[in-house]
Amino acid sequence: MESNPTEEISTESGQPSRAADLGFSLLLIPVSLFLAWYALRISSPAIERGDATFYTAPGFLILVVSLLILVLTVFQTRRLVRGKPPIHPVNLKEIWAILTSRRSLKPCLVFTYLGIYMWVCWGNIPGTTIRIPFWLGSFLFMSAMMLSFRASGWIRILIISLLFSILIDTVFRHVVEVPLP
Amino acid sequence: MSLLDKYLETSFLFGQFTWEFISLETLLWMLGAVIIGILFGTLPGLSATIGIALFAGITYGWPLQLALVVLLGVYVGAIYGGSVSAILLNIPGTGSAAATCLDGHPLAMSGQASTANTLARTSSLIGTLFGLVIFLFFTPLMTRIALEFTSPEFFWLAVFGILICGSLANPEYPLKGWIAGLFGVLLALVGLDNLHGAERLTFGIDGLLSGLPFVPMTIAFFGIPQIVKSMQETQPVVVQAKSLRATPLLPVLKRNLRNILKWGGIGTAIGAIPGVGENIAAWVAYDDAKRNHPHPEKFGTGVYEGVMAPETANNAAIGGSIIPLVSLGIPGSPPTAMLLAALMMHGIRPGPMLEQDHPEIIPQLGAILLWATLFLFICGLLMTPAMVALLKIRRRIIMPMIAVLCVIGVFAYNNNPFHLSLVFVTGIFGYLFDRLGYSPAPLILGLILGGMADEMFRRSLLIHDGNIIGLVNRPLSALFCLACVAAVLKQLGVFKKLSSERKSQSSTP
Repeated sequence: MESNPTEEISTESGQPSRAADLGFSLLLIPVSLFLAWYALRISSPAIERGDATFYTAPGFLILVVSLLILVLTVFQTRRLVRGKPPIHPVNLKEIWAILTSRRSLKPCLVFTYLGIYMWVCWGNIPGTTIRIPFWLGSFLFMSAMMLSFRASGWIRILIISLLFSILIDTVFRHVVEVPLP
Repeated sequence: MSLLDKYLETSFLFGQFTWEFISLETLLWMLGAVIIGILFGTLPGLSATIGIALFAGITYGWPLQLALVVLLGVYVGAIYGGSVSAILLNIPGTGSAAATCLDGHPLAMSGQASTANTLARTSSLIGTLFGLVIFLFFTPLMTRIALEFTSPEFFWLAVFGILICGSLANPEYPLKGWIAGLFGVLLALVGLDNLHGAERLTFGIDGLLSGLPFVPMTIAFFGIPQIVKSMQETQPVVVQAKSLRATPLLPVLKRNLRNILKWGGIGTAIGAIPGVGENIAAWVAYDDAKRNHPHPEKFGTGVYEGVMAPETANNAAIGGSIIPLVSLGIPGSPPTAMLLAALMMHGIRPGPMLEQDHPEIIPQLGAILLWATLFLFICGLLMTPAMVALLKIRRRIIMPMIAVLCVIGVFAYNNNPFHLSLVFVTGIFGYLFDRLGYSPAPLILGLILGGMADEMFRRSLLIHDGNIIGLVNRPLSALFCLACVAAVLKQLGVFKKLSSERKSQSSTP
C-alpha cells in the first residue's frame, strides 16, 4: 500500500506518525550521546581530586541513564525502520507544508498566547515600570484565546473573561490569600 | 510497639480525627474540594493529577490538615467524576473511567442513564471505603516490612516503579514509556548534587540550582499539553441519554456483593503497585468481570457489572495507592505523586519513618478519605444535572480558564516567576512528548523517584566501596532486582518466545 508522506509526519487521528516518531528517535541518539559525554565531563574533576570514585561521581547516574536511553532509542529506531509499510523519505517542501498547516499553527498560537501571558505575569514590562494587573492580564489572555479560536460570540467571550478574571483575582487574593503574580 | 498496639492506636486516632472533622469550616472545605474534584473529573482533558497539581501549589501556605482535606477531596471527586461523562457522553472524563464507557454509555442510551450513574456512584463509594479499610490495615504492616529496607532495596523499588509505570502507560510500545521514565530521572538530577555539591544539568542557569520543582513540572507535562490539545480539537456533539429512569439497584448490588469485594481487592492491590494507579485497576477489574460473567458476550452492550467493576476498582485504588506513598515514600499513582510533593512541601517526608515522626498522618488521611467519600456520594447525587450542563460548555471556553488556574498554581508554589518560564519551556516539550506518544506519567514518576534512586544507588556503592554486588547481596534487594529484570524481559516478549520455542520443540518428533 502506498502511503502519503505528508500523512506520515502528521496524522489527523492525533496518533504519532512513524516518520515523526523516527525523526524524534534519531534526534534522541545524539542527545543521549551528548548527555553521556556531559556526565563524564562533570565527573572527572571530582574523581581527579580524589573526592569520588567512578561509581560515586556526580555524573555516574546521568551516564547510566543516558546510555540506557541510547540503547532503548536504538531499539526503537530499529523497530520503526523495519516496520511495514516502509517510511518514505520526506523532503523539505513537505515538511514546510506540514509546519505551515492549520493543524500545526494552532498549537503555536496557543503557546504564543501562553508565553505572552506568562511574560506579563513575570513582572514589569521590560524597560518600563508599567506592571499589568493580574486580573487585566488574565482578562486579555482569555479573551484573545477564546476570540482566536472562535469559542463563542465576542460579547459573550468578553463578559465571561471579565467575570472569571475578577472572580479568581478576588477569590485567590482576598478569600484564600494566595499570592498572585 | 507491637503491631496490635499500632492498630489500636491508629483506630483510636482515626475515630478522633473523624469526629474532629465535624466542624463547619472543615466540612465546607471538603465539600468545595469534592465538588471541584468532580468537575475536574467530569471535564474531559482535566484529571485528578492536574487538579491535585493545581491545588498543591495553591494550598502551599495553608495548614497541612486543611491542605490534605482539599487535595484528597479533589482526588476522590475527580476519580468518580470521570464516570459521568463516560456514561452520558461516551467520553471518559479521566483515564480511569475509560473502561466505564464500554457498558455505561450503552446503558444510558437504552434509557438507564440514572441507573448507570447510581451504579457508578455506589460502586465508587464502596470501592473507596474498601480501599480505606485496606489502607488502614496494611499501612502499619507495610511500614514494618519497609523498616527492613536498606538503600539497595529502595533503589530497586524506584527502578521497578518507573519500569512498571512505563510499561503500563505505553502498553503497545513499552520502550517509549521507559524512555519517558528515564528522562524523568534525568530531570530529577538537575541541580546541585547533594554528595559533592557539583552542578548537574543546570547549563549555567542559576534558577535550576535548586532542582526542578514537582508541582510546576506536573502542570507543564500534564496540564499545558492538555490545554493545547483541547484548543485544537473540535468538541464532539453531546448525545443526550434517552431518559433518566432508575431501576431498583439493591438486588443488583446484593447479587454482586462478592464480586464487588473482589474488584475492590483488585483495585487496591493494583493501586498499591508503585506507579500503576487507577487506570489499570479499572481495566483489570473490567476484564475480570467479563471473564466471570455468565454472559460475557453481552459486555459492551450495557451490563451492570461492566460499570460496577471499573468504578469499584478505580476508587479502591485510591486507598491502595496511598499505602506505598506513606509506608515507602513511593507514590502508587500519578495523583499520589502529587500528594507526595504536597506532603514534602509541608515538611513531611513520607516513608518508613513517617509512622514514628508523624503518627497522626495515616489516621488523618483515613478520616479525610472517609468524609470525602460520603461527600462524593451526596454531591454525585445532587450534581448530575449540573454536570450534564457543564459538559455542554465548549472546551475552548474552559481551557483558557484552566490555563489561568495553572499560572496561579505555578506561581503560588513558591512565588517564583522563574517557574513560569520553566513551565512554559517544559510545557512545549511536554506537548511534543505527548504528541509523539510518550506518556507523561512515567516521566513524572521518574522525576519524583529519580532523586531517591540516585541517592540510594550511590549510598549503596559508597557503603560497599564501589562494589556493584552491594546492590544485590541481600535477599530482598536480589528479589527486587530479579523483579525488575523479569518486568523488562516480559515486556520484550522473551518469556513468550521461550515458551513458543519449547512448544515447537516438544511438538517436533
